[in-house]
Amino acid sequence: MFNPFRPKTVWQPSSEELAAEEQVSGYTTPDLPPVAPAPPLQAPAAVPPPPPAAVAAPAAVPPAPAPQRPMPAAAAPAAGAAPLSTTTAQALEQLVVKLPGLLFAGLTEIETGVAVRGRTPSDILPAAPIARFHAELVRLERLALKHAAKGTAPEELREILVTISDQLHLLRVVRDGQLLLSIVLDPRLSSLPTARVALQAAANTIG
Amino acid sequence: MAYSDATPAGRAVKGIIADLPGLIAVAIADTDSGMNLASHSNSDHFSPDMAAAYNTQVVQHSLNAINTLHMSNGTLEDMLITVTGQYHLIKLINDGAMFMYLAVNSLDTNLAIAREVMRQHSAGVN
Repeated sequence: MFNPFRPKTVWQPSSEELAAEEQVSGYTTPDLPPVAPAPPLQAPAAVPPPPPAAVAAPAAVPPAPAPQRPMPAAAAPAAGAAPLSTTTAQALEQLVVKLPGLLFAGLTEIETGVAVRGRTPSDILPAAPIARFHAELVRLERLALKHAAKGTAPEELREILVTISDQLHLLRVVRDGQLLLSIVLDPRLSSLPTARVALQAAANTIG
Repeated sequence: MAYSDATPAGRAVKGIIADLPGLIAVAIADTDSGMNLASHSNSDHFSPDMAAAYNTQVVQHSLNAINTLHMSNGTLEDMLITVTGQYHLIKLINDGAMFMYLAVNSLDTNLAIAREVMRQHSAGVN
């Protein structure tokens, strides 16, 4: 019986309900932080909220409840930290404010090339292909470092800067090498040192 | 010691060895084939031949992206790769027909010196 005066409670599925849910949908629960808030207004049959990376992914991916590949652990927010989607939005806004002539700023998953979030302030460049290009660049460069190292562990990639005559591409690996923070700038409007400092600050915000 | 004084590429490699403190490895490679025209390594743990071969893919991927995405009307000039304790620099020469690959220790050199030395010596490779 629906009681409109019932006190508002946050619904949280019990472990048995979760187990039953997994059997029905075949959906394996990703490593969620223990404090993940359940949505209070959803029907009790809803699956637990996926990590924010999946929420912010472009709509081209169908909203299927059963992802084939497991989400990387680093894409889920670390327990106790602010959610990735919030910090990313903040970090990208900082970059847009600090850097005039910014053409693209985005956070991308390196393994897949899927943009977690992208901004194109001047609408000149397409965000998704640029994100894919940057992720592929990092994967190829890691391959090169791996093969160039003889008898030792390959060096850990930190940053890539690509200079084109009318664009600067700055890529920075964040979150234990799982995600890529990258920007594209017009070098006539922003200098490289300013951009590197701003990118460092944004990387610190994301963690 | 994989370079010859008789070629411009070999002379550029020799000049860089003389001018750049903290040099780990240097190579001049053909962008189409990925093979080295001249190379030198100061480290037993770094192969400039493999580095040039695999970085050819990195360069070609960037060139493709510029053309196919209509990302820019400009030309690819150079790339800088920062790894822990090292800078790796790639500079395209002869309109992208060749590139120079340089790895330096970031404790012994700063980025401006490495880029400047590379710019000076790559101008002679034609």
